[in-house]
Amino acid sequence: MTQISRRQLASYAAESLVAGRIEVIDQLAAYLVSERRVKEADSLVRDIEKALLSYNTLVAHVSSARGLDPAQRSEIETLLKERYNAKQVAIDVQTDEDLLGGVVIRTASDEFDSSLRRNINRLKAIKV
Amino acid sequence: MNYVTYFASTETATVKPDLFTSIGVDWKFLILQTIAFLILLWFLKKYIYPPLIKMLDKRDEMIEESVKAAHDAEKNAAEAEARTTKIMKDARKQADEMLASAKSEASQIIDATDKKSRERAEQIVADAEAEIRRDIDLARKSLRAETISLVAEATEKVVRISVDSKVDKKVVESAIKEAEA
Repeated sequence: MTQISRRQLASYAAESLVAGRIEVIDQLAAYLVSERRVKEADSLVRDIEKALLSYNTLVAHVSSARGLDPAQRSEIETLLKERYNAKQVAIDVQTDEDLLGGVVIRTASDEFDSSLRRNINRLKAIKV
Repeated sequence: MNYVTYFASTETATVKPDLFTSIGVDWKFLILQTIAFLILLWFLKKYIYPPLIKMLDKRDEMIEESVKAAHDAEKNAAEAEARTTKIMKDARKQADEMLASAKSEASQIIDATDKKSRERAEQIVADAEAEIRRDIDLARKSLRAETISLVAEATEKVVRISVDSKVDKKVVESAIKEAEA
């Protein structure tokens, strides 16, 4: 049996998700387990996020030290829509206290880090 | 006839005085003595004088040779002394030259050693200064790195304490504005 490439799987999953077929995630999970390709899960998720961009849908992972209030979330959504010319933006908000403050936005292709942790790390990394 | 009988006969014979007899000379005895003397003279000349003269001549020769040898020896001694004097003079001159040369070489060696020692000392001082400069530079860098690390740690601690929700909100808004720009 010919193995389906990760890109093909991602393209199929993106198309299904845009069409509203959310069960495709379960199918993919089952497929990865049956094919013993579970290790590719993270990579497949990134590929799906990239594939969704072609359908003007953006998935963003936003990390902050204390979570985001609705206004901040809305501002970020607007920002991402403008920047990536996306019609739809899905934001996955995570709380990471180690960031100390600020926000980190990761998309399939970019990362925007304005956290206080990053600034402190930059200070520590200054070459003497 | 022997002389005894002759003298006996003469005592008994008739004496006739003549000139030799009158002055007390017996001419016969005189002839005999003359003959004896001549024989003696011949004998001496024949057998005694030649070896004697030869011996004396030989002795004269030996004396002359000895005198000549002494003269030669004296001459040789004088020449040897002159040669010795010359050799001594040359040796002294050579020794003086060698001494002067040795002094000059020693002086040159001392100068060269002195120069080398001075250069070595200067090099040691320069190396030590360079090492001290390197150590100071390293210490300065280490101190700076440590200071930055301490500042970063202190900043982190201060931020953890001072950044509350209100401040965090402002930071997030500032970041969004920065991203929009």
